[in-house]
Amino acid sequence: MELRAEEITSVIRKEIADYQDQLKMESVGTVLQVGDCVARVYGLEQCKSAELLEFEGGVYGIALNLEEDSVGAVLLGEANHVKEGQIVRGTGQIISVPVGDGMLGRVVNPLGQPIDGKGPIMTEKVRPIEYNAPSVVARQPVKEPLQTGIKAIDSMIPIGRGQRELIIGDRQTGKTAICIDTIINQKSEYDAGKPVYCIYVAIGQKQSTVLRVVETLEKYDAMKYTIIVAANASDPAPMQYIAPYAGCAMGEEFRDTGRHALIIYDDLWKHAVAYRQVSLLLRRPPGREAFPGDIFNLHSRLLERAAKLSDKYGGGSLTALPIVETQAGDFSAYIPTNVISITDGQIYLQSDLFYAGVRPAINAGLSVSRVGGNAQNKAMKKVAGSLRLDLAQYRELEAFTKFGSELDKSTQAQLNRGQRLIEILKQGQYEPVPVENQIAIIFVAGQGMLDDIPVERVKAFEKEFLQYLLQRHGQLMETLRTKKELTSEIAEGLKAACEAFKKEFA
Amino acid sequence: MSERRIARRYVQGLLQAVEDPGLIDRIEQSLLQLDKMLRENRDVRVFLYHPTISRERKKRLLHAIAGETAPAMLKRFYEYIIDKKRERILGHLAPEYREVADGLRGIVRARVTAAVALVPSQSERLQTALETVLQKKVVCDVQTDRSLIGGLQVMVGTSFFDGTVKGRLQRLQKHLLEEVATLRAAS
Repeated sequence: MELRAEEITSVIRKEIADYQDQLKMESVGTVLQVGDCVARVYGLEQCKSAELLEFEGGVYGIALNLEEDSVGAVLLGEANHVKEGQIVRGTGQIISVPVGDGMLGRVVNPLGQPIDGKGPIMTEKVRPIEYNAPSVVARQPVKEPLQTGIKAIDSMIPIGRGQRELIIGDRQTGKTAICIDTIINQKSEYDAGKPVYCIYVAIGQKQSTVLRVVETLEKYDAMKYTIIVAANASDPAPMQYIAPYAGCAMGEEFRDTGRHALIIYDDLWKHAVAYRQVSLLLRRPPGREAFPGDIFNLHSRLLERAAKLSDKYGGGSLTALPIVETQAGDFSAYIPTNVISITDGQIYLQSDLFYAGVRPAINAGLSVSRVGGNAQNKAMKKVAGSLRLDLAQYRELEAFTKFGSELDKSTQAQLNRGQRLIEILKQGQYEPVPVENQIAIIFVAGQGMLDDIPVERVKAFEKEFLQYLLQRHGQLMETLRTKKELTSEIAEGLKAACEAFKKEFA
Repeated sequence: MSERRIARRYVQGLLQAVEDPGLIDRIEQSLLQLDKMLRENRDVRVFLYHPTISRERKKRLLHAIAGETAPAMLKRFYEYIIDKKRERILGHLAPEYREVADGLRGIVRARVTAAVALVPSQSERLQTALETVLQKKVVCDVQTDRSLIGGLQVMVGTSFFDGTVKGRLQRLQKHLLEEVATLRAAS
């Protein structure tokens, strides 16, 4: 709705007529020193920790250090406007961001201001960025699956709604790709009227990378249920530090209104580095790898806010997929080990697998999901159990193939099976697979029905077989999708269909 | 920051040693003179803060700035600071001394900024008003700043009172912007 000019004038006239300025003494502070987006403020006796401070010229800051006669604050925004001797006021509030459906489809900065040039955001509600995680009584165990559309994950490392699953790996191993695929896969849920809203928090990334993510999501029509919170590499460190909390506040709004949301923190290593910078500038003592002592709490209080609420509280959920980039495969560095211990499991991505052509480059042996299994649908659970075992046996035997020695029949068969399973789990980017298709293909591969198909043709077989199923056995797939159970009828149906298709596939 | 705190310690010590109330004022004048010197004269600052210049030469300069008539107590104070290698606090002495001395005298200093120069009757009224509010004897340092448009603002310690036209306009602007934002969200 457009506001008409005379309406605005009348509103303003009324406001001015009614406006009463309350003159009162207020407790203020003065800027003692400012630099590197950190300010030291003298006074502000009533200032509370994490309070939002207002500097002259409309710049805001957060009070982080409360000392005997001064306050250490980080500046959000242009530090050049802040000068020594300026007056600083406390606002008595914690920094808040706008939340709600109006944010969907938008790209915003950590303060919730739009940066996509699509005009102002219309929302009524705001939420503080720091908020207590739901208590024990408000929660319930994870019980619904969050489908990523990636075969290797949905089968072996299932993620449930409300879970926190870490995605960890070196640069260029496809960490972001997994998350983008997961967002794209939520489109079917959105179209079915049961949306999982997605929030992608980009911390310290290149603007061009963020732009590419936005363009990809737009291309796959996934932006309409997605919010992107971007604190780019060029933004000051305090902005990067608050970005995940701002994104989390937006996700909590969906969670607390009984809806489902997925939040991706890309990545928490850069977040820790930004916080390290702020902490060191505030002269907090450095600890291991020069990170401050509260870096563990920083991440755990963020990830604790991901939860599955009990039905009494609306039954909403917030699933978190934090990403941590490792440096040269060092999984035992400080931040990776911290976040591993906080989350409910991790997905390891390895560059040697990536270059060997296994994409997504998931190391199934090291990756785990501690709670997702409860949420997995029954059919998938059934087929995935044998998949795990087959793959583990394959990895054990794999070394023997390198000796080129004579192998007995059963070993040979196991190796054959393993190679085909690995092939099945490979998947292109931006090609999420619906869960019933995943079950079908993993089932037939697990039954050994692909063992006589040459390894290099397995991919093509999979593609055509799934098409064949959709065209000729639509009814079967529909029952599998709705029943979510692999009854003996469906299993027999799949086997028969596979036999029939193998004759056509030559 | 820490220099300021150290300066305060030294000044408190000095004031405890001074017994004669007349001396308090004389030392204050001397310190203000040194402060002015340090602020306006870069060479003095560089000389005093320089780590390789000998203590004797620094002491001689401080004696010269203080002058012949300066109280012996102050001269000893300067020598002590130099011997303790605390030259850096020299720039903080005067304001800290003033604050502590004001505390002893039972007065508070109010920094008043007005749009136009106050006539004597106005400043008297302001002073009595402040004294009734603060329940203390008030000394006003009045400055003028035309950009305030009208009215005045008062800063006492860390308490701030803004009665200027400029401040009121800023608050009105903020208020209107908030109203517009809520109207937008409602529509």
